[in-house]
Amino acid sequence: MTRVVIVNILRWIGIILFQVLILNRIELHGFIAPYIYPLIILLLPFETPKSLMMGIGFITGIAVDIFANTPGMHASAAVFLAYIRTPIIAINRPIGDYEPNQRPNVSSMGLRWFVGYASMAVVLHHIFYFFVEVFSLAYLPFTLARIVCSALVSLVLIIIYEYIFHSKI
Amino acid sequence: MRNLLLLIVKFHAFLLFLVLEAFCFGMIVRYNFFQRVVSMNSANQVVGSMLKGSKDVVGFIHLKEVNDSLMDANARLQTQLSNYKAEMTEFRRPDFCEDEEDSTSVYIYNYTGAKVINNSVQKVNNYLTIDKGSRHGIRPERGVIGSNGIVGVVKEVSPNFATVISVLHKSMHVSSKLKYNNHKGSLKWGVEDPRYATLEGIPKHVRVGIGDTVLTSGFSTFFPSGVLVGVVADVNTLPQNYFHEIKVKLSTDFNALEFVYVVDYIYKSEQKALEQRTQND
Repeated sequence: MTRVVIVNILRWIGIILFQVLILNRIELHGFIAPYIYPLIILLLPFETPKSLMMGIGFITGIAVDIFANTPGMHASAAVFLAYIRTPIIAINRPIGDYEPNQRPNVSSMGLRWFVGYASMAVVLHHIFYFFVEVFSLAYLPFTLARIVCSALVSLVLIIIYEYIFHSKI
Repeated sequence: MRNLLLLIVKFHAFLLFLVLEAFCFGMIVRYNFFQRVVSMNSANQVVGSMLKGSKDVVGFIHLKEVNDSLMDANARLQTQLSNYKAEMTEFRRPDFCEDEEDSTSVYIYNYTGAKVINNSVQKVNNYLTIDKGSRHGIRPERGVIGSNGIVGVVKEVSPNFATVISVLHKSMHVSSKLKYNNHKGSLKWGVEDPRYATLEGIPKHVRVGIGDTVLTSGFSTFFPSGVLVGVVADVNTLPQNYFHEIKVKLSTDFNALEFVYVVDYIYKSEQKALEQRTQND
């Protein structure tokens, strides 16, 4: 139990630093703004209570916000992601249900399950975030293009992270 | 009462969700208020020094380009200085004029150099963070220009850092003019592309050519008159509009900003107060 907490705290620090010091500086054609911090919420153990998850989401979002000068935007998107994680897990239920001791990562659940789970979460998170950022429907094609491009890059980064830290190979 | 409590317990996750989201949106909407209260922005001391550390590493890689641009800026300043010297000798005061020389009439703008330590161009509302703050005499609402043209306006300051609203911000307007005929308009960013902005308010009878220079008008107290804004990239005139739609290529490359100057207009408060009094009458 203690080990799980420590691992999650270390992962939190590592991913936040990577996000704010490196990824936030990546600006390609104004379209691609990758966000890897949703992974912090995605990798929490299955049995994490919903309210704790939202609390973690809120702190994560605020941490990113402080560095990016966007108070509230990432926080709202991260809380939203934490709230919809439970339904996403339910939708992606494997045949024969989840087993105890399983963790939501590649080595425990397999690549196929993880890609389905992560892509659904990342796309919903990005839709929420980019619409909150624009705060209007006026630039719809532009916003949609940003969502699609950024979500693709974010997803690739998340899967690379999984292959580095959770792969069995 | 008991039923209400049970209901709250049953839906506690959803209620927490609503409370947190309400809080977040409160922050988004009341950005200024919250920033002042908790100073939750990158002008904050801890965050500022971390960003500065990481920027130092990146800055080292770009040293050569930075040197080049500083050399350009120096050269331009030298030329301007010599021009002014020439003008000064032309208008030398007659020897019989005995009153004390008014030094303030020459220096009405103060420039403070600063390094950009955080910057974005891909958002809808972009901000910069610079490594000078109130200790170096920087106060909110001062204009910020780079070596190639306008950059933005100072928003918040802490002792060692300041945040700047970039020209690439949805609600930023810059009072500008066309160089060759002094027609004034308002420059606004169109959200999509960090390289271009739109100049509004130039009537159709004014002839505008592609490649015309756009400068600041000096009507706002943020920027001195005649700072480079950009060049006209495209002019679109629709029959139903009274004004041109002018696309301006910004002269500042916001992606590659390293050094900026904060402009302090010495008579700012005096001019503001006078204009305020006039409007109140």
